[in-house]
Amino acid sequence: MRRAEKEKEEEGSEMISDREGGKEILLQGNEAIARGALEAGVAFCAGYPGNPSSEIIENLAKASQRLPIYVEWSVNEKVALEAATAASFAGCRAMACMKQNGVNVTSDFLTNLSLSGTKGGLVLVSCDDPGGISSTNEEDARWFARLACIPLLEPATPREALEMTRWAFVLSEAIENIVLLRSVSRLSHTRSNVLIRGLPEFDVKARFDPDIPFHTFPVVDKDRARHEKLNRAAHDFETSVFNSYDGPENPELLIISSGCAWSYARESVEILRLEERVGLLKMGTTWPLPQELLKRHLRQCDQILFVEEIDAFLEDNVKAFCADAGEETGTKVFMGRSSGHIPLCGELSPSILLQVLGEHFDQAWEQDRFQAHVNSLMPEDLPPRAFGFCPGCPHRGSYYAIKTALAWDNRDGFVSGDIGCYSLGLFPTGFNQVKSVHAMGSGLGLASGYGKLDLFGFDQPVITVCGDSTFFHAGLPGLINAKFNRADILLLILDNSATAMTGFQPHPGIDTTAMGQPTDPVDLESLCRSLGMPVEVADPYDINESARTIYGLLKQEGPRVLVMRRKCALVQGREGGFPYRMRVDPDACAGEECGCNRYCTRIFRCPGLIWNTLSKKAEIDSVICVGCGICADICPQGAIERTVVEEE
Amino acid sequence: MAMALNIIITGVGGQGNVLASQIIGRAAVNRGYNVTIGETFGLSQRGGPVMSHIRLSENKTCGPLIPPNMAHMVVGLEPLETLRVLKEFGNSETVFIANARPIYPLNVIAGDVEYPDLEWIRDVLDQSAGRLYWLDATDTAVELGGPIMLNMILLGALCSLSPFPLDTGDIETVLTAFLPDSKLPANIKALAMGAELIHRYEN
Amino acid sequence: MMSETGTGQRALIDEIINQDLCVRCGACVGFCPYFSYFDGQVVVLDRCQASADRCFQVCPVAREQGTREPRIREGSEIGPIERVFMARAMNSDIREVAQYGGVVTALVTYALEQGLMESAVLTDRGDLFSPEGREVQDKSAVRQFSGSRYTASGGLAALNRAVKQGRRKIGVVGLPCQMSALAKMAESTEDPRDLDDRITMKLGLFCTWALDFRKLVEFLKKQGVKGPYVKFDIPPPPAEIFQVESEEGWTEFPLSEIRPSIQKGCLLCEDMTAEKSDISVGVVEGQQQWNTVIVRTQRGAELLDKASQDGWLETGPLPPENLEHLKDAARGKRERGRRVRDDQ
Ligand SMILES: Cc1cc2nc3c(=O)[nH]c(=O)nc-3n(C[C@H](O)[C@H](O)[C@H](O)COP(=O)(O)OP(=O)(O)OC[C@H]3O[C@@H](n4cnc5c(N)ncnc54)[C@H](O)[C@@H]3O)c2cc1C
Ligand code: SF4
Repeated sequence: MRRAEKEKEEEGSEMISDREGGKEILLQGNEAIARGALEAGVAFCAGYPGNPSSEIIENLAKASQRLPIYVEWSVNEKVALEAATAASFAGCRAMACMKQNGVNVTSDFLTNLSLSGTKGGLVLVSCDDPGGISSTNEEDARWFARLACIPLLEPATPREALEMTRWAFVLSEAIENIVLLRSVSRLSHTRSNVLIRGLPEFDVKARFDPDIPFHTFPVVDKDRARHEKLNRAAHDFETSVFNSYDGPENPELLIISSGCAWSYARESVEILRLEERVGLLKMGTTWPLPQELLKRHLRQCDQILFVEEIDAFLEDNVKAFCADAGEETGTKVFMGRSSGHIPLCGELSPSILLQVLGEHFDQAWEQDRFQAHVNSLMPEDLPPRAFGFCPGCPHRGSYYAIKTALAWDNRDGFVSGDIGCYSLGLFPTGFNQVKSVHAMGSGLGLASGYGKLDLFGFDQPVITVCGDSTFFHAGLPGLINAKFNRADILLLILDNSATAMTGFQPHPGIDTTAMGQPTDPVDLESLCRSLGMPVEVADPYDINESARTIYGLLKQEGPRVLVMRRKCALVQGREGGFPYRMRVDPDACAGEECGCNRYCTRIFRCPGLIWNTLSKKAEIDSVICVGCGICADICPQGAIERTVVEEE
Repeated sequence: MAMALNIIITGVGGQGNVLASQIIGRAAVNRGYNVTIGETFGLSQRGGPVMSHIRLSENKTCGPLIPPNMAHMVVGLEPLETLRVLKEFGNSETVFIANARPIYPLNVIAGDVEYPDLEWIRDVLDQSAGRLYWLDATDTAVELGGPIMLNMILLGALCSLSPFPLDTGDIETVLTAFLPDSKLPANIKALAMGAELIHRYEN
Repeated sequence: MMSETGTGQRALIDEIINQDLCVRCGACVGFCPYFSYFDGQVVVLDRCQASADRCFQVCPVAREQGTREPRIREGSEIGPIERVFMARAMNSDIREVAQYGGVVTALVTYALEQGLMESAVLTDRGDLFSPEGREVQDKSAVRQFSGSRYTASGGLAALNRAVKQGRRKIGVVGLPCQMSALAKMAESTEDPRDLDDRITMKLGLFCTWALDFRKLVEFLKKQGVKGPYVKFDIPPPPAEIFQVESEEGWTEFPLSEIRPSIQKGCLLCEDMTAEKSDISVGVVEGQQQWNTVIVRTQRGAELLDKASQDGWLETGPLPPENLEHLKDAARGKRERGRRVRDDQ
């Protein structure tokens, strides 16, 4: 159903590629970034999908239908940045987009690239995910700006995201180095009125000038040059419109803030009516620091509160700066993450800011009364909404089969997990089978390590699961490592023919590119076979047969691969075909009398199979069930019936 | 409108929450408002909660999150999620339009936790909110062609209540630009049914 | 109803499965979805968390708390007896494939043909994995399952499947532990399936012990005999050897090397002659073409008489020294089992 929404949204997002400007339209933060790049005349855009960044490339891919730009989903983020860099080296404006984790993947290239410098404007966009709402971590990618010695921009609103993105290309060309633009989920997924300008003519000519190579040698000279470039950026930042101050001449408290969090601070000041007492310095250019500007504001006030998402980036850098500039700025009281005023972890919110400011100014927050009233009517915790695989999701079948096979095997085997929808295998929806999830492809690397631990008495079987997209991204090296080092490793590729987690972007196993052009998909099976390992295929909807196959493979040695193949339920839904119509036979279901202790709903946990508390029996929720048929195999009474749906 | 009009649409993945808020957003931009819509979905495709914060202002750009207890209107597509919003964002004047049909969380299906009694949810909302419209909107949606119509019905309901500044005409204009022609009549019907449900509820 | 007082699945896991005392009869498998039998092992798929304990109630190894089941009836080491004699299948094709005299195969085939059974629960030969229970409805298929597998096979899982399929007249061929599991199922307050009505015939096999399939495979692998294994055999005494047929042909081991692979639970077992059956069948020492047959119940006697009258079985008196020998062996097993149990 969400899919249907997306399609309609697509029609709406044609506005992204509107050549005309001068209008205010409603744009999502990510759409604004895409539009900003187009207004800058970007030629080449690459990325790897990942919440909350995916919509940038998605929208640019759609724009590529109407504009002469190139857009790709790359195999991973490092390749995305490298591909985009090629365009920059050839004089085109280019952009690479990803989530925070992706920046890690690029880092080896990034820290070298910033030494060689760039030519056509090159912008790296990182969308960070405070609170890890859809991530395995809540990493702050801004540190990469320091690490790689490159400028950092942090938009606070969709409007600013557009403006900053456009300007980032200009800045990059001015200093001949890559620029990092950092968004957060809350901005990427916020829609707001944005003023768009017209699009330029896209008439670039790509050419690499052999006389101007891009080396990192001599390293020290290049490093020096890199710092000089950074200084030039710092100089520009002193007068940048993206930094602004709002508040009295000599406030009692100076808030230094960046990104979305700035808006929470601003509103909290308004709600608490502290406009006359608090100054708010909004920073849009956060590395390198515009030192003169900072000095001016630091002199205004001795109490400083830092409000920024995830890490104490501004906080630490400004503090370090104050240690140098102490004579001019004076002694300060710093409040933020290290002082404990701002929570060390998790996403910020207006309510946190209201509390911090309320306490600081000893001003009670009047809505407390309402909360107390509601609390008196309501228990502390309402039942949470647990994550689960979709109805019909092949992963539910895969994990059920894995669970069964590992139980049969009975040697305390476990699953080394990876990144994708199937990471949910660590929750009850995947029967808690997955015991570790870290980075893309790490499940395989870990498995290849376990596969060598027999030297030290390790005798537990390990299954590593990996989605098709993740396998291409960073899984392959782990598999090759296992092969070369003769590690025992059983890889289950959960091939659902989609990067489902992030919204069905194409990947190398699919026959269409981001721009909708046909291509030859990489065949997973022959790829693995060519590495000289046995490859079997199983159907996740057939849990009994799959479990037998997995069990059999567990007994073997060396690297081996099982492709669990079934299309993502959402894709099947779109294509309109599930195999079965399901029904619970109320006469056969013994309900609470069965003695199975509600095996079907308590253990299997499919949203389409519910427990009717009145009849005390299981029941198919016909609104939700799609008809994958898996559950028919789990009932000890055989009460769940599947009938084959006739082809229309 | 002093500061901003804050509206929350809450529900679970797949209920059409994001689409409804986008439509409101576009209609409001057409009428010259400054609009900000913050969307929280995370793993929404997997049945998790989805919440949109819609903020309309005449003169300023609001942040993506409504400050605590400052929602003026709440559209709840699912009762438990509606109740969740009450405590965090509601206040004694908030107008609640609540659909009465639950979508059970997996942990409820599995028997780990119990879904609160619906009458109790209704009572708590009734005793706390400014106004409550407790509607069997899913039933109406199914009559109109499927649960997917739910969002449009509640959007119609919203349009017929103050202080929401837009009317169904504003919404229809956006829909016309937004939806394929074939889908238009059913959606317009759903908007009208929403207003009708409110009318019936009031009498 | 689920009782609030039961020990739950925990007891079965703690006291039987985790103690490696499970004899893989298969009674709990499929009866309860939380257990599964595969490749020689009964395993716990999920935690049940109910306090009811029907799994524990049907487990033949589990003992009722604090009591010891009085298994010995005075004067009868080999359980209740209607008649004891020796017999063999008339049909030589059956004798060819059967373990000994083919009485079991003949009786099952006959009962299916006559509609006395709707289906029979037998044990297959295993292919890629261990042998396991099979429900057979086609009389001509019975022979595919003739002969003895010396590893336990979770056969009653097939009974549970058959009941689920709604079969009403089921015959079960099984080891003594499986026969006592059937008795326990029928007695269980937690089993709603009216098994007594559904099972029309219980054919018990004599048994001294069975092997733990996975231990055996591990042993063979260590000895360099690679699977898949086609057949295991224990030729009659005094051979004292164990034979295995694999792709590489036949290999022999002294029985003493195999003994460590005997299921631990079998060492506690006190029943050699399947006392809870309708008819029990074993070998006649010294006359491998014949079976010792103990008829225990009225319905057992009826089936046997009909089969004999219709020319399916040839019968004769069991030599008294064989009966004495059988009683000695049965007494021996009972005393050993009791000692092991008491030592626990
Ligand atoms: C593990 C084991 C140990 C035995 N130990 C003794 C013993 O010590 N002394 C003795 O006299 N007899 C013993 N027997 C019984 C004997 O081997 C014959 O099964 C019995 O005499 C019947 O002979 P038959 O010619 O009628 O068999 P058949 O007509 O060949 O029929 C044998 C039947 O046994 C079933 N069966 C095969 N393997 C198993 C198994 N593992 N579990 C349950 N059912 C199975 C088959 O499905 C078949 O229906 C043992 C049998 C087994 C399986
Ligand atoms: S048999 Fe009963 S008590 Fe045992 S696991 Fe199954 S449901 Fe639970």
